[in-house]
Amino acid sequence: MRFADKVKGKIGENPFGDSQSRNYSDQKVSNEFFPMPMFWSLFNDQHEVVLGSRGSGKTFLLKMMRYSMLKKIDDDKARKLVKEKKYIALYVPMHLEIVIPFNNDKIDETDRIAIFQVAFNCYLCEALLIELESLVEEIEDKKERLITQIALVENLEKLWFQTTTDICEFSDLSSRIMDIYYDIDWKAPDFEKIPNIFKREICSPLVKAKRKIAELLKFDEEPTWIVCVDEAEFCNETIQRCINDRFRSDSKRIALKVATLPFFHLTLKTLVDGIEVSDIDDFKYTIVDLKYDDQDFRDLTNSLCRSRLKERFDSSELCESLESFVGVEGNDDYRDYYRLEVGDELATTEAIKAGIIDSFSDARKENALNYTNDRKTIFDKFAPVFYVREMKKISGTGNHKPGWYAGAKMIRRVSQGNPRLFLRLMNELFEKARETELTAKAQHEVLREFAERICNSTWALPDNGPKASKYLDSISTKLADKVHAGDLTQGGNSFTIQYSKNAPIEKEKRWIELAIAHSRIIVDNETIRTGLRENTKYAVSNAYAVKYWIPMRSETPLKIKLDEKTDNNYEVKAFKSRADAEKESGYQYKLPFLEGEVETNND
Amino acid sequence: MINFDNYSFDLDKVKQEDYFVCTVGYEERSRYILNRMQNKVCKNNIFVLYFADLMKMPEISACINALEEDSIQTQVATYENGETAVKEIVDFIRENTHKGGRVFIDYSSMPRTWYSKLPVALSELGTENVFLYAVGSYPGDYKAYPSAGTDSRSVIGCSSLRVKKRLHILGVGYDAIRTEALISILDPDMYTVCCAHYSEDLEMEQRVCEVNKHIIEQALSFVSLCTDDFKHMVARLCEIAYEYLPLGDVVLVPDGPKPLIMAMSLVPQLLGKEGVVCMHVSRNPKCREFVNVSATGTIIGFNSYDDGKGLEHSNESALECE
Repeated sequence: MRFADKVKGKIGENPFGDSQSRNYSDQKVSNEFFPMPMFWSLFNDQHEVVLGSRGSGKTFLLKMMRYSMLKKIDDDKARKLVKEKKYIALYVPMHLEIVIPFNNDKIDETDRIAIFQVAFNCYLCEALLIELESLVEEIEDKKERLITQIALVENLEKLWFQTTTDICEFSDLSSRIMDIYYDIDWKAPDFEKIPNIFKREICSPLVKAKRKIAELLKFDEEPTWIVCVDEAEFCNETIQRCINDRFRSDSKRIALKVATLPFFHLTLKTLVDGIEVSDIDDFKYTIVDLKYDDQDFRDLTNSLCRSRLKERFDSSELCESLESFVGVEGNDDYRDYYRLEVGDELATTEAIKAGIIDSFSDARKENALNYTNDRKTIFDKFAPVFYVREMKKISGTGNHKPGWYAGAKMIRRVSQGNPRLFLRLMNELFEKARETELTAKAQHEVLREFAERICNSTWALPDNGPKASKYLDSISTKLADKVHAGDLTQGGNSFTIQYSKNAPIEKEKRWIELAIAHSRIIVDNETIRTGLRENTKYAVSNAYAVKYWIPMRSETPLKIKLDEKTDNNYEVKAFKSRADAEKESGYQYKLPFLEGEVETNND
Repeated sequence: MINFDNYSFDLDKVKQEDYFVCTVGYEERSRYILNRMQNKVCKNNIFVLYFADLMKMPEISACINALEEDSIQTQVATYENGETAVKEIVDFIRENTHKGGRVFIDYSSMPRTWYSKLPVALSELGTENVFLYAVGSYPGDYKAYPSAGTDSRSVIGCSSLRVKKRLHILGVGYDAIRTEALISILDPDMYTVCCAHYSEDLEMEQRVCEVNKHIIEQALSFVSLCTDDFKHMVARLCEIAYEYLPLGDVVLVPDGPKPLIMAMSLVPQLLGKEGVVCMHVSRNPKCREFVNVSATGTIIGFNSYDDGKGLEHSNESALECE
């Protein structure tokens, strides 16, 4: 029995919904955290730009690196890091609402750099105070704890503000930092009032204070302070130059981990003209995206199922894995779901081979008779394409819905190794399971709807979203045509792009990069590190593969020429005639009435 | 402190000495109230803004020319330059009205970056400001409503320095595609969804819930408001912001009908609290497919006035107005 069947009729919150996070204490968050080898590898002395597509879990990784969270992780490696105190991580968010004022190009660039540095340093100091509080809490002797706290507050105030005001609580120091931050008029900043250390390059307050902190906390040696800068994709080029500038400086036991989307580390320039950072000498790119078939992703998805469902069921009803939640058909392979749909007789190896040969072109049919190893040359090579063709045919018959896009492996494929996509999909499967038995057909229905919505939302991605959406629809249609129109040939989800004079790579790359950053197009890690090339091999994501019935396999890529007709056209929809409108309202319009097409935007 | 009251618009009660400000846009409804006000308000008291790029259209240029020939003051503006447009409107009112005068502002076709700042910007002038909105008639097939996409952003309010969690309050309308994309970009820790509809159009509420089904399913909570009860909308939104502020930052991301966008945009301005911000995400200029919304004939409104108590009383007052 699949675990999902226990959900039927169950009311209350969906454990995979965002609503769950409201009551999530730090302890619960850390209980859910599933540390992978890549997480531990981030504790090092090097500056890193952490690249991961939207929803890949970068934020979660960086937040969990904080000293205060590390203490809560039940893992020997975490305990060792806490005990040794060689690395202490701080979390500095660059949320969109925070960085918008610094991206305002109406402000002079020099001022913009200055206000960003002030704001960053304020956030950094706040983040530092949080971790210091956590470190001080560990001092067992109450008196010593108090003395250390007062000494830290007094010294930091003196170092940062050059004045002392008899404050002794971290919260008092925090108030002084807030006074700086909230007093800034972002549009016309007055830098006179701001203490010098906050106006200097990013991380300056930490550089100035770290030796004193180590001394007061009686560390054996100065730790490496890891400054985790999250969501740097929202920072424009100017702000990124400020961050790069830090990469170039003598690290002084401060290591930046800057999380951003692939291709959104926009520049290697620094604040000094003509000087750039190098991705070998000054920092390194680290990619955190998982593949859907990685063992780590498998373990993570099972762990999420286990921990989330534990919240909603009593301890005697543990769901150990995704497989146990949705159930397993045979070996959870394509063939098992094909068999489920067509029956045992048509799913034997011989019957499938016969079906494949029957779908070949006449010329290939003749050649097929002479193939020596037909298991490899016919079955292994063509069966995945054959199944998709047959399932699409079945789905086009009346209202029939096959149970094809189903099972744990398929859910991981469609999630594309992305934890957020996985949770969203699970949220919808859980909702379905409340209504009905979560059969393969029910799962297929959920996965198809989910994939459709992912594809549709490509349109609304910022800037080049509409272009990416139109091209991806066009490319997917071409990939699907190769599979479904005509005789059976090899087919898959991979493609290359044939650029032209009118559509050179320089002109097209931004929409492709956007699609990669949002997991609509998949490329290898080398491409993410080094950039797009004319011969780069791409694959449409599995969400597109589901929507368009494309086999999820990387075959000889289809060469795609970009269709210039996909440019946008202005169009006004659902227009009423003047006569109709007047008739309806009973009012004679005085002004000229708009008819035809318009070319404007109006909110 | 600014206060709001619902306003029941009656054309017969409009006086010649009242003032009227509006924007002519691509939607048919952008001229609906203007057409009616022209017969009631003195021509010198009318101020019409229009978009420069619309003038390429013969119908619009003819409309603007007709207004100008009729001695009505017009002003070209650009979509992006909200600050200038707001200044133009404030200057017109300041220069032409006397204290205690009544100004009608039709925001049915104004960009959100303009109208969201007007209640506060006009509050200092001592005029009675009435904001009007012509309820729109949307296409029958609301699912075919083209997505406006997402593009640049602006922000009202200031994030807190010690960010704990973030609650996003998302305004939704028919453009679920845009909302889905926004959620994936903003990556909220948790979010609550607000929709609004004209109180007599319950079908609209159902339709909006239907297109946003999956967004609502994942939300912390869902709030349905009525566009014609502006006072309650503002109070309820302030209340939600207050409820969640102790947990972390509150980020309002308005969308849906303009009265809802207006109310959401006012929350940080009214509360004046660090950690309450409103983020405007503009439509993508590359999404050029527009729906020409006509007016149903219903006009809803609210008036705003300054009670002279100042912002320090804002928190209680904002809640009191429920």
